[in-house]
Amino acid sequence: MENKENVGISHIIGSIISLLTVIILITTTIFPAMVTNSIITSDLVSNPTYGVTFPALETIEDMEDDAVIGIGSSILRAALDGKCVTETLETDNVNVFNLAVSGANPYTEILQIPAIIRANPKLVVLDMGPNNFWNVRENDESMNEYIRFRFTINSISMENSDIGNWTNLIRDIDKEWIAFNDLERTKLTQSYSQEAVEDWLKSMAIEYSEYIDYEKKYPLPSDPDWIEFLMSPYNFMPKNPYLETKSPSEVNAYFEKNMPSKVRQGVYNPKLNDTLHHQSYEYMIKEITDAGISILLLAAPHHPKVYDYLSEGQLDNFNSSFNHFLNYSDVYGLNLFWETWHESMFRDRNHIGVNGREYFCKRFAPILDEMISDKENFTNILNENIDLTNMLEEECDGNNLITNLNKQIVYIEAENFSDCSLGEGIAFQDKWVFKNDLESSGSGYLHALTEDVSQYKNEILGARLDYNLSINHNDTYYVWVKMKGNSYGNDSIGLKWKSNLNSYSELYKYDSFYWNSKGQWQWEPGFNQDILEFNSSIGEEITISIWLREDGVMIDELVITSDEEFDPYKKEGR
Amino acid sequence: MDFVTTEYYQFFLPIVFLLTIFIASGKRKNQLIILLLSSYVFFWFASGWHIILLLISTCVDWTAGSKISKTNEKIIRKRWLLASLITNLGLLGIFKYLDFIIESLNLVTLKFSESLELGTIGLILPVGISFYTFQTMSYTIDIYRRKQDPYDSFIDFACYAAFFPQLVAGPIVRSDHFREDIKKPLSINSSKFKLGVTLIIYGVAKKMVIADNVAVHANLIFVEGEHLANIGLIWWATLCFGIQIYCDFSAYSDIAIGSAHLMGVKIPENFKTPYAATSPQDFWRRWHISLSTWLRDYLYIPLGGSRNGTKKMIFALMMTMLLGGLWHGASWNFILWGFVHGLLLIIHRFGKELSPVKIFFNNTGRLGILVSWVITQICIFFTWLIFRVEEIAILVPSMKTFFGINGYFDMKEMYDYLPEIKLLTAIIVFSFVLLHGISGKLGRGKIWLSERNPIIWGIICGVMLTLAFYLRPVETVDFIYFRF
Repeated sequence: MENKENVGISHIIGSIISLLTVIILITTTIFPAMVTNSIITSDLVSNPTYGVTFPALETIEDMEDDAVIGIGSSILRAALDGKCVTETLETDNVNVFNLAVSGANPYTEILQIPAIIRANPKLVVLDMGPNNFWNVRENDESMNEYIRFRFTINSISMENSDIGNWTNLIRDIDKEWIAFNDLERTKLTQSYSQEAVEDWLKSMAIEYSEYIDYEKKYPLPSDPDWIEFLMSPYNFMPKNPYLETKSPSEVNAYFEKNMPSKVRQGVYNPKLNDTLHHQSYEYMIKEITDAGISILLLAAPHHPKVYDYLSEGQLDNFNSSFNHFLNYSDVYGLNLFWETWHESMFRDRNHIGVNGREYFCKRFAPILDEMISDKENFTNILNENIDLTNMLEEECDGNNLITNLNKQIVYIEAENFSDCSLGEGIAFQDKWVFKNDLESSGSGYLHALTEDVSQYKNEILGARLDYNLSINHNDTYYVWVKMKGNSYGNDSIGLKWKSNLNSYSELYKYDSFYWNSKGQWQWEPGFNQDILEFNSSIGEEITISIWLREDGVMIDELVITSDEEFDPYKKEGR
Repeated sequence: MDFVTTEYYQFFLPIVFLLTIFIASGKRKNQLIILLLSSYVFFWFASGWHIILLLISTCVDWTAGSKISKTNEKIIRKRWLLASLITNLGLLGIFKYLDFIIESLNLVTLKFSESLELGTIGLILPVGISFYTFQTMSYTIDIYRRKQDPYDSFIDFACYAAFFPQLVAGPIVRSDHFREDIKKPLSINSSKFKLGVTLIIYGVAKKMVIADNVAVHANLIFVEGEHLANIGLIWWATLCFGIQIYCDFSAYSDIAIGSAHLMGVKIPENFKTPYAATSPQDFWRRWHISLSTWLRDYLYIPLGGSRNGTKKMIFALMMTMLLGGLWHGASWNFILWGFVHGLLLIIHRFGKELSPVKIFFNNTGRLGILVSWVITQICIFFTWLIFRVEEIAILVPSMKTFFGINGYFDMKEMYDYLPEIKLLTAIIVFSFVLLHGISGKLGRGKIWLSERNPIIWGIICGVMLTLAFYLRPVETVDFIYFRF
């Protein structure tokens, strides 16, 4: 094998320069972009937030509006709905971003600090719970694996300018996973490049084959919903409710199984100082505040049952550490950990759920407003005695009406309920919603939403309505409800009554058959159903409670009558 | 250390290149000493203490060659030839075939009594033993046949036997060819340098992008042995393995030839687009050329060849292919592979003389060529199926399915079962078929590339290298022919 051409040394040098140019060009453009995009959008890694940090900070750096950036673990990620907070803020032109990452700990988050400083946010919300002060052990294989993974992913998308003083904190065993230069970055990128190319090919070929399963799960920086994704990652990767949907006994069983071992672990046994995480916090706080950026330390609450398992003083080191870092200049604190939130606000042991997130948004926005407008006078919120145990009732407003039963037949508009409660447990997302409707009695009716075909059968978990009655005659009373089902099916409610003398009665079920009524309102109980009846005497205070038994059900009106033969369709007593 | 380790490119090759071509420039003997020592270093890193076997083979054949050339006495010449053959075949027999023989004996004797069962030795197969023993044997045989003179210097011969580019997996270079190259001090010009680098880049890309990716698919199907009745899967796996073995082995040859070029030594080509072959005979003129010509010269012809009647020809052909199969490995599937190839060659030799066949090909022109190409390739790929699968429990159903016996086609099952990297592999396979076809038509692709201007060369080689880096699977697959 021999070639004909006789080339000179300049030809060889030119060829090598050309070769190197092409290699550098490809290795610094096409493949890193492909890998970074694939990490964000698809299931190349289990969670897109792992790869989102640096592209996100680049986006924020380019934005004109002020930014508030939350960083930390999944606890903060679950708590902070940046979009909700941004919309609730009274201050204009401030965007709240949630860049917290699943499994993150202070040590794994130090890499992004130079990029955060470049992004120049108004405020950094730094996740600082009791679970952030454990000792990082070199022989903890699973933690080392996580650190390796996080550092690799971050190294792929960061730039040489992101190398900062944090390098002094990096353990020797982790240095391998940090790209200190472009060559090392190229090597780390290679570990995902093949899968990234496959993903890209799938995205190109998806239209041409029914067999190809590709879903672009999350937006890219060039997509219109990218900003919303950075603000509220949970809107893009919702997790199914977990503990919220469990029965009280299941919740207890969950904690009895998990907590005895958990309370012995580092996450509930924080060290006072000198851990790698303490050092990481020192580094982050010092670097960020030196750059003129304020910090809000945030400790989110845990499930109320967690606290039952903690010993007296077990988390003193957390309190001390939190207070220690509060002493830094331009650092503020929001310690919600010692507040008691309602069980339905948690998805699991330490992650806030849908209800909790909504509450956090309402609570956090005014605090942020205050911090942004007048941080000098901002008072740290630490260990406030807030108890949200009765939150379901407190969050649901009734109109305190008491209906006098001074006639034989008394009509009550459904919307005139005296008191109410949100759903709990499996029904934690359900509530009664008033709908304006001219064809209904009064001005409208109550609709049990959200409609996701939930059934709570004989458990009284669904949202509750209370109707308080004042009795003027000793008699036996019967309760009729004008209602209808939805979705061409039967939907039902549960009813009980109680008095100031007696506790709740047994549960009655009123079922409305859509196909019988053809969508018209019906009075229940109809065929073959027991009617709720109660004996009462003058002066007794009666409460009729109605629970959402199957979502989608609608109620318009109630009748309380002492007439045993009452026929609601005759409109007697109107 | 081998041709896909970074140490080879970061340290070994550049150092040997600088020492041989620049430091020892013009000093032939010094150059050969450097090459010899570096070859031993290379082999030591590849195979450790097995280097002793290489030294034994080298010394025995050097001595045998000298002794044979110095005498005309037939008996002495024969004795020394036998010494060479016994040593080389003995090494092969012990290290490569002994356990296989014991296992085969056990299979037979088990029928009589379990107490007759012999324990296997468990010797590790020395890297490259099939290649360097064949190479040194050919040297002695050629001297015995008076086709060439012995080397003048032991260093020259030892360098021939151990020359690192072709030591581990060929090509099997003939001694006279090598001697021509090292007659004068080793030197290269810019063109040779560029050709050498081009061949290395070409080989690395072929190995990492094509061979290693398709290997993942072939391995999954033929090792796991699931869904063996799915025709699509068996055809796909066979196609993948056919591409893998070609790209793997020819990549090694390209890198070997390229590396040798950098040392100023020309090694002959080992492949000529074998999947463009239109007959089994044509295939063997294009596939592993150095082995097939070795088998022809030192086995087929001595066994009678084609000029001593039909029976002898059939016997010679079949024996050559059976032994050729056995050369690849101590396993029954390799013997079966050789047998099927022997059968194909015999059928082709007689079939092409049949009148209907002659009439068909005389009247069909290009269509006839296409038909013969399709038939040849189906047969060749079928033999790859036999070559790849050592497990009888997987081989037999796979062979049936290949021909559609009791098979079914389920695209969804196939898609679901294949490894995660599917589309990329499919594109690689498609690109290979396309490029192989073009290469078969036009030829000289590597030389064409090496002759391009710096910009075009840089773009093409740069793309190949970056693709090799980014598209290789996480786990590198060893060169297949290391096992042989």
